[in-house]
Amino acid sequence: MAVSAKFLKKFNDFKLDVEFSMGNETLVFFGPSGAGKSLTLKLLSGLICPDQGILKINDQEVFNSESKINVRPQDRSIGYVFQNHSLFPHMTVEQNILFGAKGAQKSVAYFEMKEMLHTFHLESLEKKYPREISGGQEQRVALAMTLIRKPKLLLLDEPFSALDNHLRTTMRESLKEVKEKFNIPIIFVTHDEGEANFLGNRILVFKNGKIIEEKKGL
Amino acid sequence: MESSLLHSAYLSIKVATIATFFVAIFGLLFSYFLATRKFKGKEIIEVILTLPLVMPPTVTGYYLIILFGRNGFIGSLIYNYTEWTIMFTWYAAALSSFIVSLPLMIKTTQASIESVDKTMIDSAYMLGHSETETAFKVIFPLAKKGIIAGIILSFARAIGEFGATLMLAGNIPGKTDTMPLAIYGLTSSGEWGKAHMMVLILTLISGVFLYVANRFSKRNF
Repeated sequence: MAVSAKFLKKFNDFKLDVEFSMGNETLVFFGPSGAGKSLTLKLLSGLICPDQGILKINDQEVFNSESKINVRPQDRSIGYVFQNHSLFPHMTVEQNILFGAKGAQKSVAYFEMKEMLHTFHLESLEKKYPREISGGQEQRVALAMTLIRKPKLLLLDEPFSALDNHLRTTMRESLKEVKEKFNIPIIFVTHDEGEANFLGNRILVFKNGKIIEEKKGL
Repeated sequence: MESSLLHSAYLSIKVATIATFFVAIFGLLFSYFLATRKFKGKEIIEVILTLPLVMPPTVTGYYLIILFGRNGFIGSLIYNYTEWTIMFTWYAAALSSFIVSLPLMIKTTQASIESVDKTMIDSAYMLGHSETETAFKVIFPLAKKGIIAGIILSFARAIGEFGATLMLAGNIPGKTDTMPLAIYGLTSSGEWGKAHMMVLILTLISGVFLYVANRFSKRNF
């Protein structure tokens, strides 16, 4: 199993209690706002610490509340594309992607950045700032910046929610290509049923902090 | 211009520059921790650090004497080891300027750091960057308008510092008479011509710095 997770987290009146596992597939978290989808991503990433639980990525424990294992977000090898504001506004497209290549040798990072620009059709935009490019291009840069690190798991938190319908459709296609090219497990959060069915191998339906249903994608 | 006026102008700029240098370093450090940490007693620390902004400068000066005077808590230790006291030296003027301008830097910078989108910070962590790297490569660049405005305002405050400096450094001609102190001395002795000139210079400097600070706080990077 690529990822197996079991989390319990309480916030005042809200309680998240989820358990799931996944292979090298695209798993969709589907459900209304406030159901616990994005919180589950934060727990997976380590940005928020669960009260109890366990998380294994490729059979390696990165979190275990009983044995007090808690690998910091920087070392979990998880890529995370946020809903909004995923790019750094003071850096150009090129600098944003290079910022994701942390730890790589300078020449290697530069070569890989050029490859990413090519893969995501961003060649002409490398010197532009995020404010100078479109929403769709911005999300492609965010994917390039995240994937240059070669993560073991990719988390996408409603990355296309701010885009218009036409662009959303294009980006869904691009994401399928990303899955094929990079061959890593993806967790995709959405409250759009069409998007969930199109992208997901499996769909986990969230409600009130629980997974209430599991479906197969179309 | 007379040499005494030149000396006061030079001393004021030296004192304000040195005070601002340390204000920038410590102000940034304090602001960062206050903006990013939650801990017990945080509000009390915030109040203590901001107090010199609202207290009469003579009260701030009084506290500084208690701390750094020859018989003060820190001053006595320094005197016992070095037989030197900061009192009535230009270092005392720099220390006073540092203390009164630090809250301006902290208030401006803290607000600026707090306004940085938390997603940016999380995103940097997820890309493998440590807290320090994130601070220098993401938080400070995104908060730079506030940081630069804070530094400029601190300099303007430091160059105009009077009350605490008078208490700690005294008004010794040719030694600790910064421009505000020299103006006080010149006015007391009825030397209005020289006082006019110095007031004009100080007003110009303060005005220019305020203008630049305003431009920075409105500028889009």
